[in-house]
Amino acid sequence: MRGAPSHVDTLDFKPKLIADTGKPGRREGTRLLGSRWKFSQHGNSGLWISSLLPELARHADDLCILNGMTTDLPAHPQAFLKMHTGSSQFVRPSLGAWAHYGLGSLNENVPGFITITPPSGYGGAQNYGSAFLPAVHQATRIGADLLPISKAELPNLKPRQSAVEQRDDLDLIQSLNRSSLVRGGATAQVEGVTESFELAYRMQQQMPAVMDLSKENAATQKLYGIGEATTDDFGRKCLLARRMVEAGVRFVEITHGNWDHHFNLGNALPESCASVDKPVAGLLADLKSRGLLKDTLVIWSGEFGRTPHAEGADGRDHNVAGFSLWMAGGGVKAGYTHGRTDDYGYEAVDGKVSIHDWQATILHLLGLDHEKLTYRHAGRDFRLTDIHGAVVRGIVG
Amino acid sequence: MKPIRIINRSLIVLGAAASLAHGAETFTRSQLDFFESKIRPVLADKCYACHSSKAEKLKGNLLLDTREGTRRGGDNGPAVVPGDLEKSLLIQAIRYHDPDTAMPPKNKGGKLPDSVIADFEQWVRDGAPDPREGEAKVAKLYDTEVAKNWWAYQPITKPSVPQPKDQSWAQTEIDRFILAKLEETSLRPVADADAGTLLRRVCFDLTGLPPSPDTIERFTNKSDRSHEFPLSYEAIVDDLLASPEFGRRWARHWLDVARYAETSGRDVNVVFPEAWRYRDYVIEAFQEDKPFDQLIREQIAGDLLPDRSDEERAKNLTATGFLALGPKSLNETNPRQFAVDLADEQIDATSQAFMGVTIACARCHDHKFDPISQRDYTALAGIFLSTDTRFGTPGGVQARNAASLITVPDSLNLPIVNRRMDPAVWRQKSNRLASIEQQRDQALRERAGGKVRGEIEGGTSSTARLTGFDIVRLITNAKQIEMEIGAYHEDGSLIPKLMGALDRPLTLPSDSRRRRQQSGSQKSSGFEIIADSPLFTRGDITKEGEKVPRGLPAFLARDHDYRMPSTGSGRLELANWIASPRNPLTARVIVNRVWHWLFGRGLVTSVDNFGVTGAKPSHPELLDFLATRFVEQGWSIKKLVREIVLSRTYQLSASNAAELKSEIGDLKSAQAIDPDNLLLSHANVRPLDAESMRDAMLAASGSLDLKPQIGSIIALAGDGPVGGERYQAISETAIAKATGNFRSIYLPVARNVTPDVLAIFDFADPSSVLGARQPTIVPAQALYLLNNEFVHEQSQKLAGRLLRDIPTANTDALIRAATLAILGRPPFADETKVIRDFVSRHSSAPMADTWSRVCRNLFATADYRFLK
Repeated sequence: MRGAPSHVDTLDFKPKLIADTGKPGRREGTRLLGSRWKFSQHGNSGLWISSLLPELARHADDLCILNGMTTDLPAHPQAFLKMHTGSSQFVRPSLGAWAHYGLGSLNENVPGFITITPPSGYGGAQNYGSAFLPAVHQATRIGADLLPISKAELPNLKPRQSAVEQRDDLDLIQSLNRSSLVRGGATAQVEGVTESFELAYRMQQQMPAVMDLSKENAATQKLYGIGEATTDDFGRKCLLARRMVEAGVRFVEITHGNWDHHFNLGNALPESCASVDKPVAGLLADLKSRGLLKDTLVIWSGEFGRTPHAEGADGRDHNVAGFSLWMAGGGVKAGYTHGRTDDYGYEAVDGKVSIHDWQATILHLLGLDHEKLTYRHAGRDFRLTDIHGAVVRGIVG
Repeated sequence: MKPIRIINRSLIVLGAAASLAHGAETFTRSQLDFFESKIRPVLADKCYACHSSKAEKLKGNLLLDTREGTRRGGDNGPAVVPGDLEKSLLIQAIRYHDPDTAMPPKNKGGKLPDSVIADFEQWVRDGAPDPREGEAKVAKLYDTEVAKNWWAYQPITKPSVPQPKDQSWAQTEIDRFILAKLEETSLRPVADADAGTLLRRVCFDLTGLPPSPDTIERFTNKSDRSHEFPLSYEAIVDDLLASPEFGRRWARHWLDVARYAETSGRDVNVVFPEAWRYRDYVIEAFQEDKPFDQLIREQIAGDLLPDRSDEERAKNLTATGFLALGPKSLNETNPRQFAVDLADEQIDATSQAFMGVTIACARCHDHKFDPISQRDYTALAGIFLSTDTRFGTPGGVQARNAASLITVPDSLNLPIVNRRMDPAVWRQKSNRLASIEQQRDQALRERAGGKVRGEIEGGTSSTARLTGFDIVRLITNAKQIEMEIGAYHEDGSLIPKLMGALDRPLTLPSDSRRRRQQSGSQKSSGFEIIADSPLFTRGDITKEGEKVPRGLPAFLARDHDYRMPSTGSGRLELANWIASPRNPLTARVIVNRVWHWLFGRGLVTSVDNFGVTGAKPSHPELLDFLATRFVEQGWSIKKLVREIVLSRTYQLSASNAAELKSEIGDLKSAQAIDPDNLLLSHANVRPLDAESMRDAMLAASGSLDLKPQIGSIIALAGDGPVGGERYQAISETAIAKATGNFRSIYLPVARNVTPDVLAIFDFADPSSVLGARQPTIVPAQALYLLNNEFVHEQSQKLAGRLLRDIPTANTDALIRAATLAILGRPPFADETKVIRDFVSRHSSAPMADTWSRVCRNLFATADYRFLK
């Protein structure tokens, strides 16, 4: 959720903030702004979720809400990079690249790590790059930020000729390679090239099928909100993600919308929430009904939170000392809230989770030890969490 | 009882007074008893597991098992400050107020009983008497002596050339070193590469381009009478070295090392519109074979070198672009942090590029493996913090850290990219800027002293009603317009400018501070004049320690006489030391890089790391021999390249399929005994790099344009961010899809986005020094070769050309011409057969289509992609 959603209007219920609306905020000259959206408890677990996310609220018992998140710098690019690579200062491999490096491929015919409509700013490709890890771990990008996903394609995936013609070409390439193999001298390389062409050929056949949402029945499309103006785009992204995971993609990231609500919170936030609420609830329901949720970790987050006081007439500024996100499935404790901010939502006071802690926990849930998942580069071992991070045991189910 | 203070570091019990003295500490028997009964047992029980020299894993670098360790503390500062409870972090920790620092941890028993906490408080209040002598130490990860005796830190020797048993094989001195080493095993060199293979290899290695079909014919066809090749190998090598294309190929190698890019990367990716001048400087340097020591001096301290003309000065300044074009976090909010990060990046790039040492590892602590202390680092940091780096990105909302460029006189007639502004637009923007600046300055003046709207006296001025937000908008608008017009003269023509580095002034002009405040620009970094850098504890800029005099790393420069000037940054002294023949690293590192670029692997495999964690040389004597020869021959890259490619070692076959003779080594046993071919009994198979892949397709199709290009599409775009929502200089797509018929070195190089063809074939990530690209074989490359428009286009052009050249359309002649153009050799019989079959299967299709497919499929083969 690029731009940072307001935690005090979505997942972090702050009755005292609501009661004290209009009183001076922590920053000089500001006034507290309580949420105007009603919070209520949901499911057997009684998780507090605001009325902005009614569909998600139905899945309360699947969610693990982290209300004690913290990050370092209240600037989008730094916080975005920190979240994705563990460092806003140096160029480091991204979380997805580390995960793919650690877990390997499930299906060679599809990319191992895909990022859907990532932003070009905010650190750009570094957020899904492999840095010093082998290039095979970097994400394959589909689409671009703020462009509809329905128009997006994978680079060079579309053949310029018929399947028959292409197979014919491939046969010629492979006979020439076989002839080279017989002459000798570069056995490993020739075999590598031969294999890569067969993989490419199969990827060419399989990926368009994976990306073809028309293969899904009307009920499923409806579940994700596809076809409705508000939810169509994010719905498609979520359904794509599910299809990719099913096909064996290890790590999928979706970037969506602009949640940087400095102004016009009253209109913009409900719009942003509405665009994701049904699709993400649909994704959870769909994963669950297919028995995939227990092995798939779903995370919903921005790069930080927003101030409990107002900025201007109707906006909120950046807040890094406390914010919220939720996780579901993949071994995380369900129907659970971890951590707490102060009475107003300014800073985490309990169950604080730093970005490195959160990353360590994600790797743990994926079966990887963040202290052991290392890569030797420039004379030393590097890891996602550098020298920091502790697994948040309390949220491991 | 009055304690007696003893200065000597030994334990003395002084007669009847029964006072105890430990080092510089003294205390009474009762204090000692208190420590032994109340403090030590708790420390041992609750803390030593993680905070002692016996700790399995030391936490926070804090050692509580000696007095020294306890007082000095760990990462966060002193654990105990005698007499001061508030400053004693140990007390803060055990009080359990802050969950982040609370100790002992919950899983180790949690908070101590209140009575124990009270004991500790009393102990600290009482001066924290502590008899535990000894140096605080952890079991070291490395041995300093080992580090100092590491081969790369020893002076370069001049070894004698060995005499191998076999006197007939070696053709050059390099060969004798290689053969002598092989003779220590049962391995022998394999056969020489056949003429065609060798020609393709040397052409790509020296120029990044394939041999022309004519050269192939002349080189590979023995004339019947003389049994000699019409064109000698040596003549070809000399032609290649003299060709301007040599410079374009080898400059690209150096640009990988120099982490060359035309954008800032990291957080907000902003264009460096003048970076290309450094690229062209490097091309020219390699074309002219500028002595490498001079190349080093110019890149580090070109601004401080003497010059004979303004032209030469401009060139020297362009060279310092090396220091300016690194990645930067332009969005950093703290200018002081930005300044030390910039110096750090410069230390990192300079030390790794030229000397293969990772000095930047010593930013926060002494180097864990190499003999470089944090003090050494800080001494270098002072040099770079005394340097004014002109990277030239105008400020904006996101790019908070702006810097100007170096303006050069128009009279020098530097090449300029084709970018202009309409003079009328310039005037209009300039007037608007003046009016905004006037409003901004007035508003800032009125608000001096923290006044806000409504408190301004009079309250009638035009800016009295502006909110803080309005003023920020004025400041931003002013910056935006400055950026838009700043690159141009009043008549709309571009002002010639360079990226580079200059020494800071010795003193600050008195009005500069005031000016900065008035113009609403950023506050100072505190690094504005030539000065030493403070040592930052753990690299944290808020923990400033003593100043360290500017200087060179003590151990590495132990044999170097130098004097740091008080009136200069010291960059020239740094450059002179690095470029000195006595520097044990520099000549070895560049000679090894060149070896890597010609063999696909260095004699030292870790080309960017000659430190203790790097590799040892496979042929240390050969490396020193070449390094010495290199320096003796005036640091000439071309002479070094020539010497290497004329060696028989370079000319070996990658396979043993060529006529096997009994005395020749065989590949099978080589693969068993020396699987990585470190001993070079045969040639390594190497992939064409991305640039060669692309350039060779253009060359084959006949479209390659060898004209040098001024700038790049990034330079043409001008100032501003790459991508982004509000305002962008150039889109990511424009860079990713960049193409042209020129050589690939002229393609745009941006951080965070790379032209597709380069990205797919393992282009060097320009975020840090990279002397060895990591080749991959992945499906994305196959997809590119199958489906990319560029490949289809070049194949069509080549097919068209072949069909024009061979009007009879004789199939075998076409096959021969196509393989010569693409694979650099005539076809083998089995190849001719399968292609002939393919063509005849498609005889009903248009010829142009069929032959275009043949060409494309040849580009897709392993034989095209690899140098054997």
